[in-house]
Amino acid sequence: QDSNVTLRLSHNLPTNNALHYGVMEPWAKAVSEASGDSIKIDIYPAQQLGAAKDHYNMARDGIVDIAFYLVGIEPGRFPIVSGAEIPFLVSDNDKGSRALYEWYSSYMDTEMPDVKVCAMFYDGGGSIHSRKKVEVPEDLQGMKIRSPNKMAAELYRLAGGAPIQMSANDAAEAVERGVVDAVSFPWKLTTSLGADRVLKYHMDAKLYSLATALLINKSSYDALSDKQKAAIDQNCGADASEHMPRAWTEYEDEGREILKNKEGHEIVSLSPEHLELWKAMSANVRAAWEKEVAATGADGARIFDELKSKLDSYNASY
Amino acid sequence: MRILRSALDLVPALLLMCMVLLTALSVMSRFAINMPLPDDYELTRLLLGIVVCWGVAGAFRNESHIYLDVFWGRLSDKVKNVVSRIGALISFLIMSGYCAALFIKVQDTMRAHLQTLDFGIPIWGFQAAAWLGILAAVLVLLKQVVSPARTESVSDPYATAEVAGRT
Amino acid sequence: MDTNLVICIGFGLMLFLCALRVPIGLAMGAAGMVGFGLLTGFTPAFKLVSHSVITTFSDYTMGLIPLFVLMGAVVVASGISASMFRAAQAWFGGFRGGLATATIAACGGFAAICGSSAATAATMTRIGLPEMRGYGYSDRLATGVIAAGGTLGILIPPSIALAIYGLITQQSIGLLFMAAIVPGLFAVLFYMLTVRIWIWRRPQDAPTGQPTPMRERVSSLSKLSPMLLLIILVIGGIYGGLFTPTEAGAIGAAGAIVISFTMGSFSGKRLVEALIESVHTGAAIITILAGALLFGYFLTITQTPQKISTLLMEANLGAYGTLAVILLVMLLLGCIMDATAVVLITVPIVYPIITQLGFDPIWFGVVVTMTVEIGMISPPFGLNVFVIKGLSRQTDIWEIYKGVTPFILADILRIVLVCAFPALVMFLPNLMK
Ligand code: NA
Ligand code: NA
Repeated sequence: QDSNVTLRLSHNLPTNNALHYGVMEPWAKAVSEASGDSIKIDIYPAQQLGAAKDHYNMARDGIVDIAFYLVGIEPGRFPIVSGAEIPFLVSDNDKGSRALYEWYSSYMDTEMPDVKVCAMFYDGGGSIHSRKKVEVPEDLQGMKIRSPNKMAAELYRLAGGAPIQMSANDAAEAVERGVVDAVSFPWKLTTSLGADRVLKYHMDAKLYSLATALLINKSSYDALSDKQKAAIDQNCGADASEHMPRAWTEYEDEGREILKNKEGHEIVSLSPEHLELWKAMSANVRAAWEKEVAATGADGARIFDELKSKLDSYNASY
Repeated sequence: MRILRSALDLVPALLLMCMVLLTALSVMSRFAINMPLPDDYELTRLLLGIVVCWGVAGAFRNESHIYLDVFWGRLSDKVKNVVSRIGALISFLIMSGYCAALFIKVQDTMRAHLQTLDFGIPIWGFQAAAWLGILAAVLVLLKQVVSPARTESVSDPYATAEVAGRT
Repeated sequence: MDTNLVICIGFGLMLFLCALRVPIGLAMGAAGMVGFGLLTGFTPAFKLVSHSVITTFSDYTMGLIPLFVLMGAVVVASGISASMFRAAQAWFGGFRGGLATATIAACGGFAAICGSSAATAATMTRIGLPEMRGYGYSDRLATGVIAAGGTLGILIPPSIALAIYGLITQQSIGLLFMAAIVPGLFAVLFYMLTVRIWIWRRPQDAPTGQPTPMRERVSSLSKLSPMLLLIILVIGGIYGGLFTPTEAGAIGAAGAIVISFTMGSFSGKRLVEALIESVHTGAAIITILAGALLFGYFLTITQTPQKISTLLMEANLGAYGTLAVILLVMLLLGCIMDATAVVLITVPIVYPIITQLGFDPIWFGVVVTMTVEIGMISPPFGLNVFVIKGLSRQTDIWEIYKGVTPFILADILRIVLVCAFPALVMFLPNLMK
């Protein structure tokens, strides 16, 4: 009989977000069941045990046993994996997540050696929600836009916009007062924070997706019995990575439908020519990223091509 | 020694002024030329870290920290001095812990190559500057344990309440 | 180790360290770390300190604390606070007890610049107390008015206590500031009425004032007009969402510095002094915040809030009964502890209960602030009372406590009113939404 263990799992979003009830809770339950109820997972949502950007360290240092980590939240720290957040890269988040995990499998042991990377997946993805119509990169000229991560900020800067860093809540308020002209939000967040009261144009593109990882503390894992380890392993890996984000993706897509059907809102779809312009811009972001990776002694171009062909093979490329 | 003392006050004071200017300028340039200053968010918060850490040291020296004075205020002057010294010793131990923890954090940040978002300035330098403030706080407390000030004002029950900045 | 035992150890250690005159923030931090360590091992607990302390110290939103303190400190150092008192005297000083009423008005005006109660009380003690003594006011009335008027500092925005509440509950600090405006004005009104009633009962405590000619009244205001504009800019800017509260703090401080220099009553040396004072005060408050956060992590993994919530729910007191119990505990803690510390210790525990009971978090923030405000003037540990006593040694401390009693009654009446009519609080923030 295995001794009962309780593991602490921490993530940064509130309990009404699909990440909590649609991803983390089912995962914890699946692990628990697979272990014959000898593993119990206590979930601590909403940064209750630490700031979002501290979550890698929290898993590494055993402050929690399992942490949900946004891999791009600490600019400079994990240069290789941050390439997965280059804009206009992923079109299908579930299959893309599988590609992400499989691609990063060959790098995680060197780049994230202090933790066990259980699964990796993309968030629901997001686009540009703006006061004025944004179709081509030039439309961002002089626009103050809240950026979700470093890579998107780079894209906006290259397009002539002024990327602003602020929390989602602050951005939703700022946008209403005209301090910010546009935000990069996932779809659902745009409505749930009320930013759609002034932002009437929504680019119909998965402009960016945040890459995330579920990290397990190594000694917590090593202390488990073989059966318990198997219960965890069975819920980690490429299959889990593809399966886990589904509820979250659906949740965000729902937000797109809401805005599509809402009076006075325009979903701006990109023509193939316009998309090419955006992709050209994003190629420049990639070039900057490759340079950064090169500084660490790795071959950025090759690494990116690997990711790209993984995504292609699952039909998840933009 | 005197130079060190005034540095303990002046360095964070100047940095607080920098915070004021940086943030105010960023707001103004946002309205005037529709461009916020790059990295103002990160630089402001990193400066704050230094200001607070150095301020912690200064606050120990000036007894500006917030204490639960309800028991202490009822003691005789002699006992008060003894308790204050014990308190300084415990504070010294706790701050030494903070100091060690922060030192590890600085190394951690350095190894992680963390940078600011816009300019890509390494963050560990700011944290190291902040850590110096915590180190100063440890030294201030050490002095209070070894040779505490026994002035009239310290033994006055209401003297510490004179610090006007509390909530 | 049994979790309930660890909870007791954590709370016990915190109080024990506080009693040994360790700063409250360090006591909370150490107790939190020990409690966390007993449950998870001391290496993770130590690492928790290493991440969480620097994260708190360099949190952008925390920046508003030293910045708003600086704004107040500059206004005091430049003598603008004295001009405010003059203006209030010119407008309200004309009848019996007028100077006491004027002090309330000046406290209210100064509170719109300064986020701290003790600073408001200290400033008004320096300016108002000699004035009232000079005109023959009793010490009881004069100090009572200043102690109570000082508490306006944390109710009328900007307010450090409300900012801290917003920081720990993740509520919009802008909305909280807006919500406090109407209750703040009510506080001024109630205190003024209390003065009227006092003088009606004990006319010997206050002399008749001398009316000021209209021309002088107007000119007293015109001197203040730059400052009034700054207040409107800062509060209006938050209200209109033109800037975040942290930015508002920087604009307020920068504006106060510019105004002070142009009015010629300011010097570089005074600016440096104001900066140093703000650094120390800000650091002292943020030290408590960092400690409270560590203690909060300990409470979280022991699930203390849930346990207390279950206890309260099982008592079946109903929503308002539970609220009354919570506020009473805060009031009692406020009697022995600093307002910031009370907010930081209790709010993380009771906040989930309050939202579960269906109370509005913004409204509750204002009610909490009004409750801990009372603690600042109540025995045995009334910080504002100590401030006045510290600056006016000859006054008997019990005379001050007697002086504040009628104002405490006014405070309680106001809390009841705000609980009965939440719209008084929610009216402005609802407009903003
Ligand atoms: Na105030
Ligand atoms: Na009290």
